[in-house]
Amino acid sequence: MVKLTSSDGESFDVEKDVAERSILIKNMIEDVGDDSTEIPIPNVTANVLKKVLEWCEHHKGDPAPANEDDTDARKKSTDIDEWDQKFMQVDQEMLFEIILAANYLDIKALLEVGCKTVANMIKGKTPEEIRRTFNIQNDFTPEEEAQIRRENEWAEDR
Amino acid sequence: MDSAQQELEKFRNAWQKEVRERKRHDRRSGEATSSKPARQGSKIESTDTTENMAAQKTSPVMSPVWPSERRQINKEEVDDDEDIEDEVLPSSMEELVQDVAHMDLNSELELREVTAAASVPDDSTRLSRKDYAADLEAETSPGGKSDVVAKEDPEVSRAQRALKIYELAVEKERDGNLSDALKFYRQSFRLDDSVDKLYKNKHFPSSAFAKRAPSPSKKATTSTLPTDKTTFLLSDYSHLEAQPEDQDRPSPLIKLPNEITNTILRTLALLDLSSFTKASYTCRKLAFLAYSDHMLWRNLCMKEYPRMAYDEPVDETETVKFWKDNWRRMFLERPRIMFNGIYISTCNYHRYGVSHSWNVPIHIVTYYRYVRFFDDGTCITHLTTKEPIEVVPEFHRHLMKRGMFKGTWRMSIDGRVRIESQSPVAKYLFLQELDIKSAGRGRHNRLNWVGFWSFNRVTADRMEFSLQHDKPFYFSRVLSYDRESKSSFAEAGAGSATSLRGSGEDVVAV
Repeated sequence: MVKLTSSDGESFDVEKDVAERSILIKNMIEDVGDDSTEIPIPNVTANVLKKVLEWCEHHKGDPAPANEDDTDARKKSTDIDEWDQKFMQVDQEMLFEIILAANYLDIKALLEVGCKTVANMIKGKTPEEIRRTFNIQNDFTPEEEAQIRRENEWAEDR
Repeated sequence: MDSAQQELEKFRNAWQKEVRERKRHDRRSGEATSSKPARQGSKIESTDTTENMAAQKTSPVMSPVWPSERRQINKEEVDDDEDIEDEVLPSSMEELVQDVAHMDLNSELELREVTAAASVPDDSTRLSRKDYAADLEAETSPGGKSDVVAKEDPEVSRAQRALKIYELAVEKERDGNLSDALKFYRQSFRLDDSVDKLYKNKHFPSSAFAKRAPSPSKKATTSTLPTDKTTFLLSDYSHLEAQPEDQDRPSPLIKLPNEITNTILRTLALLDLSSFTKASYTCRKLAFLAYSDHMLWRNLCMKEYPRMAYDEPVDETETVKFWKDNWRRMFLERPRIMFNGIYISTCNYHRYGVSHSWNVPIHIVTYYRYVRFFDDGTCITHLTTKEPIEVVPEFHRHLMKRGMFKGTWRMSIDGRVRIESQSPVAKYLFLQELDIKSAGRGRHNRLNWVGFWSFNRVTADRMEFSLQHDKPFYFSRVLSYDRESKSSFAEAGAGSATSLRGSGEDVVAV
């Protein structure tokens, strides 16, 4: 068992192979060489850490990610498995907290699922709808916007 | 390397030589006394060569650097794309010529120096000198684009600055913006007369200069280069932070670190290019990240181009060098077949009907050719009078209707597609040759006819069909081939291309 402490001081006892889904924690355990020490996770709050650990628990049996080449985009599937889809049905703030935590804890697969989820939220929306969904201010001048649209409209319905 | 490239190389060499001369001359300033004979004659001569130079400079644009030999055969074929270039070119040539006209006064002065320094009386050298004089003038007047570039990093050495400008010039030259390119070339040579060597070391380290400079990673070089106007414009935004529309609500997407936003955009681009493009319209930050991310465009290329049924295996990382390692540019310019839709050619002809009364009916016949490509090198061709809305939903590989024929396709890297398909009569094969072109605002969305033959498998006879009624194919995206979803077509929108396309595409716009 490994003891993890969130930024707000809450402790979690986690199986080692669950915690080691996070490369950051895995490396820490290896560096310390002692499983019993408490590992602080200063960037992640308890409610987010709990959620992330839930994901790690479910995916603890997954085969270790092969050291795949990032450039081989063909192999990458854009599908999200059903459990992950449900798991990601959280409010926007939590979703992005999970993404940030996955990035910090270096859990590649979770980060990927998070990014795919956001990509799916953007898919099929107009620019205006995307702005509304994610609360983004349009900071283009009209000329700039026209320019960018003109140069990229070829891809709009591809 | 074609002759135009050689000419360009010659020009650069001449320039270098000339600038060196100039430096030497400066050092001995005052020593040189003017010797005026033959001034008049050489002036006229060099104005002539200027026009030649302008012509030579333009030629690289006319003949794009294609890895295949095929292009040369096609050169005389005029198509829409080249028309556009034709429109652009004369004006820049004019500018060049005008430039020179302006410089006449300076050139007299300069020519005096030429003779004094006893440089090699190479025509292009003399020309360059004239321009050089004008450049000196330009240099003293601040505010030019190139000055901005030069000012960006006050720290970097003169040589580095020269290199930067040189790179910009290469970029401009590739964009076809020749007057700017020339301007930047001159400017860079003025800063450092061996800038072309620096450039070679940086970008083509395998050449004779390899040992002097280690090759920087390709990624680094391309990501610093502006790919086109968009990124050029956007480069100012790199430091900008996006703002929430509503200050009271959270806006986590734009607060993400750039690396994560990049991951999201890359995922989105592979998922749906159209949505990715729309996301880039939302704000400056996303636009900047979208168009400056080298890896994103590389991923897109790596996703699409290996699906092409090339005659010979293609090494993508080698091929992208023709686009100077600019993956986005390659994705925009290198022909490819699209698999998420169908190519439709709408053909019309009329014939006179038979009549028993005084009026003769005229039948207007519309028929359609359809091709759907698969990335395993097969395809389905279909000739029918049925409209797309009826046909497309049943365009499955497993559900071959009457008049649909299986075929195989192959293409060359420069976009010539050859389809070999079955025909209504077993002993004949149909051979279709098509060129991938762009129409309207789309890319690679048109297939122009090159030829159409039948091939008798028994006698090996080849017979050419007339293409009298046949029109080019246009691409239409299909979201789903299911019969149930009637709205399976992408909303192609009321874009100009759609209205140009003819009746086949009207259905798509429904």
